This record gives sequence, C-alpha cells and structure tokens, in this order.
Amino acid sequence: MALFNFSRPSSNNDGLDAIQLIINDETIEVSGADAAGLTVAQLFAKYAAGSCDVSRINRYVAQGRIVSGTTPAESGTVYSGAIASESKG
Amino acid sequence: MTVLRTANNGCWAIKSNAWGLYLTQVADPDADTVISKEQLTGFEVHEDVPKIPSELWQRWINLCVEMTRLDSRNLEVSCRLLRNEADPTLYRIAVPEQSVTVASVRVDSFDKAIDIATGEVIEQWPPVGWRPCGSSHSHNTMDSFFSGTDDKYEIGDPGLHIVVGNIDVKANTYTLAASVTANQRRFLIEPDTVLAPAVDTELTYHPSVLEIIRLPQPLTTGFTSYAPRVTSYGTAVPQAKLDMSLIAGELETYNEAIDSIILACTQRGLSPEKVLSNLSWDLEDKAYWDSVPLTLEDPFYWSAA
Repeated sequence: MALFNFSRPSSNNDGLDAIQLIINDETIEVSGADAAGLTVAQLFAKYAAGSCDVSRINRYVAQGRIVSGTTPAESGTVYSGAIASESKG
Repeated sequence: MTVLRTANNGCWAIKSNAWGLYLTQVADPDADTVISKEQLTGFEVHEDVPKIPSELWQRWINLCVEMTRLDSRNLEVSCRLLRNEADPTLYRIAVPEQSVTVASVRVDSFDKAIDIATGEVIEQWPPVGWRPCGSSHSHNTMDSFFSGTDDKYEIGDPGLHIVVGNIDVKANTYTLAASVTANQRRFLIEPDTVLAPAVDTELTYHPSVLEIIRLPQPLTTGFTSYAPRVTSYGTAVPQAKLDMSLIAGELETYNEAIDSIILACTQRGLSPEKVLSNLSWDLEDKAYWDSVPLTLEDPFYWSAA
C-alpha cells in the first residue's frame, strides 16, 4: 500500500512570501514554497507559460533592475518579464 | 469512494480490481458550476477600463495614414502601447525601430523606440515606470483583421492588440479590429470599449518616428512574373545577386499555381488581390525565418551594461 500514501500540496503558510510574476498587464502569484529552488527563468517557464509565450521573454526586471534569468528567485519579490521583439503581418 | 482533489490535475479516486489498486480520474462530486461555451470563449471588458485618449490615438492613426500615403506600395507600421504603473489611466505609444513592407513589420528589438507624442528616445525596454500593455499595427489599404503572423506574435504577448486597416487617404477613413490576448487566446472586442471617442485635434505624430522606420528596398529582380520579391532586413537577408534561372522550372510551377489561385478566386467570389496579399505575408515570414537561425543563447548578452 506504500504506493498510495498521498501528501498535501505545499501551502502558502510556509514562512516564505509569495512571488509575483508580471508580464505586460498580467500578474501571476506563486507561493514561496512553490518557488523555492527555482531560478527566475524557471519560475516564468513553469508558472507563466499559460499566460504568455515565455520563450520570447528577453529580459527580467526586479525592483527596476535587470536580473539574469539564471538568478535564484527570492521570496517576496516582484519579477517582470519583457518581450522585446515582434513581427506583424 | 474517497475523492482526491489535486491543484491542477482534476479529481481522482483509487479503484480496485482483482489484481490490485490504481488511480482513475473521476468527476468532482461537489462540482457546482456549469460553464457554457459562450462563457468559455467570451470576454467582458471592464466597464471602467481606462480608455486610450483620442488625442494620443489620433497621433498613431496619422502615422498609419502617412505610411500609406508615403509610398505607392502602401506600407505597414507598428507601435507598442504602454501604461503607467502608478496611474494606469495614463498611456504612451512608442514606435520601435522597425523594417516595414507592404505586408509585414519586423522589430528586432524594442530597445530603440521613440515616444510618438514627445519624440523622447527610449533606449531600454520597457521604460522605467511604464508597463507594456499591447500593440497596434496598420494593414494600410487592406482589411483590418488578425493574420497568422499576428496570431503567432500576439497570442503569447498578453494585452490589447489593434489592427488599423482599410485606410482611405482621400476619404480620410479607416477601420479597426481590436482584441485582447490572454491565457494564450485572442478575444475580439469592440474598439470603442478601449478607445475614447474621437475629438477634433491637430495633434499628430512626432516627426522623428519616421527616422526609425526602415522602408523596403526597391524591387531588384526585374522579374515580371509573380515570383516573390526578397526584401532586405539589414543583415538578416543578404542581398546577394539572385540567379533565379537556377530554379526556372520551380518558378514556372509556382507561377502556374498562382494563376490557378487567381482563377479560383475569380470563380468563387474572392478578391485575388487580398488572397495574394495574405499569401505574400506567409512567404515573407518564411523567407525571413528560414534565413535567420534561432539563437537560444543567454538572452542577456546584449543587455549587460
């Protein structure tokens, strides 16, 4: 019966503040526990892919400063992703 | 039966058969909502959404008209919409450096853009204190609708996207198609739900925006057939001399196919001009992307000061 021992999903009450991901006018909130151990780019790839084409994000900004996508995400931080090129037809 | 509710993967229950236990997906016994298809695909614009002021929008429309008037080829043009972070009722329109053709616009980077109202040069995108919230581009004299290329680049770029089309320079008229993209979907909306009513204004685009719009090269192939022209996009598509005779047989087949499409359009009541314009967009897009390998390197190599 070991196979069907279930665990509860992590909650927001884990002492870690939630992280906000912003792409244009869309905001996605990720609990601190869910964000633990992920980089900024990994966070967007995992949680913002339903809202935008994350492969076109060229730049991440936190508190007005450009940060690398490989930076470990910090709880309580607001990260913006910017799409910086396009084509129209 | 114990129902196991997961965050993103629905409801499950443990089922038993003669050999053992396994999980099977089940309906949520506590489900309390029926969502209609209309609701699922619909979009309701906030009644109090801040509308883009006519004084700003008219500047953009004037630029679309100018690009149609500027060249007998009726050129397109594109802009980005920005909303103030502190006061979302404030908008800006930025015109990025771009290459334009009769049927497409290409922007390699928003990092060089010009404010359509003030002429301020924006050197890092997005400008501090402003949040990208959409885009607009013109279809010059063609219909206002969202093409396949527009879908490709706008559906994953959440926000308001508006096409300006059917521009009649003499009559000073145009049509709009407006949409909001979200959740990797496009929702069509009425333009007047997001644009303030038009007012008479003499305000127009800042003249410096014309300096960052690269016009297409003159046709150089000398071909008189329907063979597609190749447009220059800076270094992306080198303008080497094309010896089209090397593909003469394929071009003959191509021209026959175009003749066949024109005939079919005529017989079935479609506008050959519009159908061929649509096809030319796909061709231009394909020509560009086939010539530029996608680079998946660190996207920050160019942004580090």
